[in-house]
Amino acid sequence: MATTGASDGASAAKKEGLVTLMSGDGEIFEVEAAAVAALSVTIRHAIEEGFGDRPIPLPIVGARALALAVEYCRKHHSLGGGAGEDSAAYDDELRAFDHNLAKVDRDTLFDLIEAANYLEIEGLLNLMCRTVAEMMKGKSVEELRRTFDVSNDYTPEEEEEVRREVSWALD
Amino acid sequence: MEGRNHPPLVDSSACLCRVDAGLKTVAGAKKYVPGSKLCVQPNLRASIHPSRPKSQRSDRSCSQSPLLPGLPDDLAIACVIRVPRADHCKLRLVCRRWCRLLAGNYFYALRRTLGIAEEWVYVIKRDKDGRISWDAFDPVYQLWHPLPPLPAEYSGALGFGCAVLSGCHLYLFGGKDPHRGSMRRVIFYSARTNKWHRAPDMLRRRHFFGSCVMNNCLYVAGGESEGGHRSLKSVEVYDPIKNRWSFVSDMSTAMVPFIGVVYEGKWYLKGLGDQRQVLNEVYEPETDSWCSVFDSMVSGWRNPSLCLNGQLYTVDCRDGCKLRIYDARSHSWSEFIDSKQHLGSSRALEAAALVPFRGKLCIVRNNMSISLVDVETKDCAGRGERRWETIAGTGQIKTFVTNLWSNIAERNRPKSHIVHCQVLQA
Repeated sequence: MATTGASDGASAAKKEGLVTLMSGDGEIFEVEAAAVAALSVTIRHAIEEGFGDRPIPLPIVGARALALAVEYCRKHHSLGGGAGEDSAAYDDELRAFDHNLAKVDRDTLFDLIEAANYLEIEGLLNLMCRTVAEMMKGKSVEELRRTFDVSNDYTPEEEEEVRREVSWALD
Repeated sequence: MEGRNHPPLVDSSACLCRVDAGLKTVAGAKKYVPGSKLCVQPNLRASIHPSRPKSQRSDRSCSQSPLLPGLPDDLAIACVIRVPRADHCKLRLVCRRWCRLLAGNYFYALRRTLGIAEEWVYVIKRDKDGRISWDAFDPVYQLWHPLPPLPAEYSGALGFGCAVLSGCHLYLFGGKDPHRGSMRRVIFYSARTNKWHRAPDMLRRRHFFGSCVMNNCLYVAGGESEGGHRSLKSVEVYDPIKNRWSFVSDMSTAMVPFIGVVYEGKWYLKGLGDQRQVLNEVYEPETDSWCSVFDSMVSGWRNPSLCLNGQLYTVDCRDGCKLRIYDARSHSWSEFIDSKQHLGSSRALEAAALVPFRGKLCIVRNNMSISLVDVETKDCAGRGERRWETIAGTGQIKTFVTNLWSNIAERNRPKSHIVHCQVLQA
């Protein structure tokens, strides 16, 4: 896990191979630059642009999502070398890790999607979007509305109309 | 399949600097960084979503509720496009915005761009009373899906054509209505909207004609027309972009084609002439010209056949347990792939169609069993059976006893047979 708040941001930056990230809610994370830069395009660019010696602010990424994203980067960097899901390096351990990471509540999922998009961690974004799609699979219309807090704005007549249109598929 | 694909990274060049987010002092924050230094140059990463405080986000979207509350719409779309096709109808019922999203071409164009569009096999069959019906098979989840009924004019039609344009539109055209006779009618079903639509009529009424698709244009040739059962030599082409039919060069002789294939950019047609003689013609779209052919390709060519990745395949055994491949170098049908599992020679087990499915050759039989053949893998000779994979229905009948049983059972069962088979993507 990320070292949270243990050290001063400025001194942390001096440590070899480390980079400091600051979440939107102000938490400081000291992480291995190589691991996050390999997976996150945003961090890689920030380091290349000389942000490596001071905390990199990540305004819309919450601390919890950032911690999970960093964990994802570390695991994938050490086990898969940042390789994609197609490569042979993507082994069972990584798959199991991904599987466990996706077992979070809906709000955390959404935070992770936004974080992965902001940090440009393609694999994580993919994984989380697929997880949400998986949650939509096989659910009834009512369950879908409930699970995702989507309010039904159809008039009863409209809903009946759409239902008639797709009725042959719902039996 | 889905694992290989990436959601669209959001395209925005807004400034990433959000002072309010950086200023919040939360337990654990050790360092205060002045807002001015927070600004990462926006041109650094053009594809990052701009940060927006939650309140602003809801202000902006008050005219339109978000697709998924808690997620920006673009990211919500990245999630929804990954839902399997079988669930799409249900998604439409959730609310107006989901319905609009699912009904738009944007949604399906994205799925195709990202390579997550799913292919289903569409089977149009005729039952013993001559009624036409159709179903779709999803080979990934191995499920048959019901479809909106065929329009009335095709519910009993004979000798009509069927083709796919643009990957997701299934066209039915021409044919003979038992009551109204030969038709010029053209309709198409969109796998995206799940509805039937009208397209411009053909220039000639015809049935029992030949058809093919080249460069996403639909070609129709020969066949019969009402009145004296005269066969036609005229050929017409439909371009979906121009949305109109036009004539191209006539064939050299009138014919009622019974088999056709596009091979090496040319359209081969085999059929019967006015004196019931077998004719072979080939059409070259570049030169808009027809000529007769009498080579070994057409002589060994049988129905059904398929051109897949430049290779020409035809069934060697009625049930499709053995396939024949045309070797262009030796000009002969000399290669074979053999499953070594003969299923039987009844009508129910007859291979009615060969269609391409995700680079594999898909055999559809009259009893609705489907086998996939991995024709690309060049393994050791004689190990053809390993390439066969049954994905639907009763194709697994192997033993003599079950085979016999199915032959007997078939005598009492209402017989239906497949008239057309296509693959549609959405």
